[in-house]
Amino acid sequence: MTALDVKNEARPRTVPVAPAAAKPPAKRRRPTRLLLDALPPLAVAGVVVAGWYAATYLLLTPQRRFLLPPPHAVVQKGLFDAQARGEIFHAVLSTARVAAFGLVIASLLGITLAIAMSQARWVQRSLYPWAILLQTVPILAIVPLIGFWWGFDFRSRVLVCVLISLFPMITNTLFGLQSVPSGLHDVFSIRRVSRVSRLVHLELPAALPSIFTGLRISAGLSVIGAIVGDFFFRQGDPGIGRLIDNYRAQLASEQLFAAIFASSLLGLLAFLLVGAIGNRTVGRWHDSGRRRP
Amino acid sequence: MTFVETGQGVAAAPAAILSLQQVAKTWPDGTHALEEVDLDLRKGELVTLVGPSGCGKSTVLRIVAGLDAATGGQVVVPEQLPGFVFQQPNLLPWRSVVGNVELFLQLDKAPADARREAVDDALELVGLERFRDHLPHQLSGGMQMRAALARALVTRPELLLFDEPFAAVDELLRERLQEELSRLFAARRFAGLFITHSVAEAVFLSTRVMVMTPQPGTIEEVIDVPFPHPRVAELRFDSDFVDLCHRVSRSMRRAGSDLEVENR
Ligand SMILES: Nc1ncnc2c1ncn2[C@@H]1O[C@H](COP(=O)(O)OP(=O)(O)O)[C@@H](O)[C@H]1O
Ligand SMILES: [Mg+2]
Repeated sequence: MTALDVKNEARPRTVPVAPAAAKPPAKRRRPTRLLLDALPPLAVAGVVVAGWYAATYLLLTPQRRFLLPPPHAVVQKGLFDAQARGEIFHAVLSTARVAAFGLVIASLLGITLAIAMSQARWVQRSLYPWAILLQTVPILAIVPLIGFWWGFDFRSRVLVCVLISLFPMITNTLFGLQSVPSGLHDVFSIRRVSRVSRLVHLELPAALPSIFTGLRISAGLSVIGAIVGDFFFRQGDPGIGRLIDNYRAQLASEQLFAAIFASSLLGLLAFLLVGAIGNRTVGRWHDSGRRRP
Repeated sequence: MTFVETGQGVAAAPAAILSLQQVAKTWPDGTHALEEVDLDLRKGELVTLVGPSGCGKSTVLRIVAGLDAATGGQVVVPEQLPGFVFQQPNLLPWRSVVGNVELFLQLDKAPADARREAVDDALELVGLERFRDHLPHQLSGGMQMRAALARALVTRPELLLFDEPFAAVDELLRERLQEELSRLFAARRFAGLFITHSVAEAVFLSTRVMVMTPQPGTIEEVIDVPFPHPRVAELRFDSDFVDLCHRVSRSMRRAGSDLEVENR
């Protein structure tokens, strides 16, 4: 008992001897690390807010201040004004639903196409050029056509999201499936396994990190697609894009800024969510998911 | 013109489970990799192929494993798929040690309890029981190699193929792994075909050393190694052992000088 006490007392004295910087970052405790990670971007945010205030109060005359309302007014409207908050929340939710649907369809379709391409050369040779075409056609140019064909509501919006986020899913999945080290292929070859087994037990798991890279890119793109669709398609549940346009038309600049921030937050959230799922799935064994020092 | 010396005049007591006769391989690009390779392997034999890099050792192994096809001669392999230990551990990074070791049983759809028993057995043989739930990246190089060994052993193959499995590890660890493999061989008495370019490794491990000459690869000389398995570290300092190493080295040099003469 006394020995234990002595040990416990002795420990704090030894701690300050080791300089904090000498500790490997992985061993640093989590809250400390989070704080240190958050500090630099928070500092940038501080500078930006200061610049914003300066622009609002120093550059703009009171009559023209509606062009750039001060940050606290935006926060006030966006967070504490029940009506604006409700409108923005509802619109973001609607946009999120469209983007999520689009992302799910794009990833299922993209992964399926990539698997088909990886299984047979001729499939890849016939489809890949079209996938590239999909990427090079300016999506904005065909959005009106989509509405023209499929109507101006939910379906068309989702379709825009799919079109805009499909390509990264195809290329990243295909890259992952095709860059399995040949040594790992040999392990399966000596067992004479079927193609399906090789796909299920080797190629798909090996491609997971790349699939998540694709998902992270596509998640952001799908949100953009949903907002673009909103600008074009005026039927159905209004999303954040339509709300932004309405606020602009009404010169409701505080609400406009709050809505813009909310839409950015949605994009960020989509990115973080997919990143977190990816981390949980492949971070255990793949270093792209693990934190760098 | 090279002469093939098989050195297997003795009447075979047990039947060979692996037999290569006059095996030749020419790659599609015209590389003449193997010519007239003869090799018989019985249970309880651990044969090493030594030779300079590029002389076709891996090609022999890949032909035996069915990864590549011979372009001439006859190859008789056992019905059961052989175990294969590669130069790299080649573990699936997303599977734990257990997951990697049980992979083949899973692919063969073996029942769960048989699977568990075989995996535990293999892990015990290589001394990895305590690391069963570790992921490959959490293991040292030596432990990764042991896991790869366990994966090859888990199907209890009567034929095990090794393609320079210890070439990438440091000397001390390499010697320890050799001793472990010798113990394993003594315990399981499989038929082993082991490839290396290290003379000492060949002599330490094998019951028979086959020296290969390059371009095209063929068997230059066959040297029997009489020491009983399991072999221990001290054997390396035994004068008979050293003498055998010298004999193999000289044979390899002869093989090399052939090459120089041919190239001129
Ligand atoms: N897939 C292949 N296609 C063409 N040539 C090959 C191939 N694999 C090996 N070779 C050639 O065959 C010869 C023997 O190679 P290999 O069996 O790997 O030698 P070792 O294992 O003894 O170093 C070398 O000249 C090598 O370049
Ligand atoms: Mg080789």
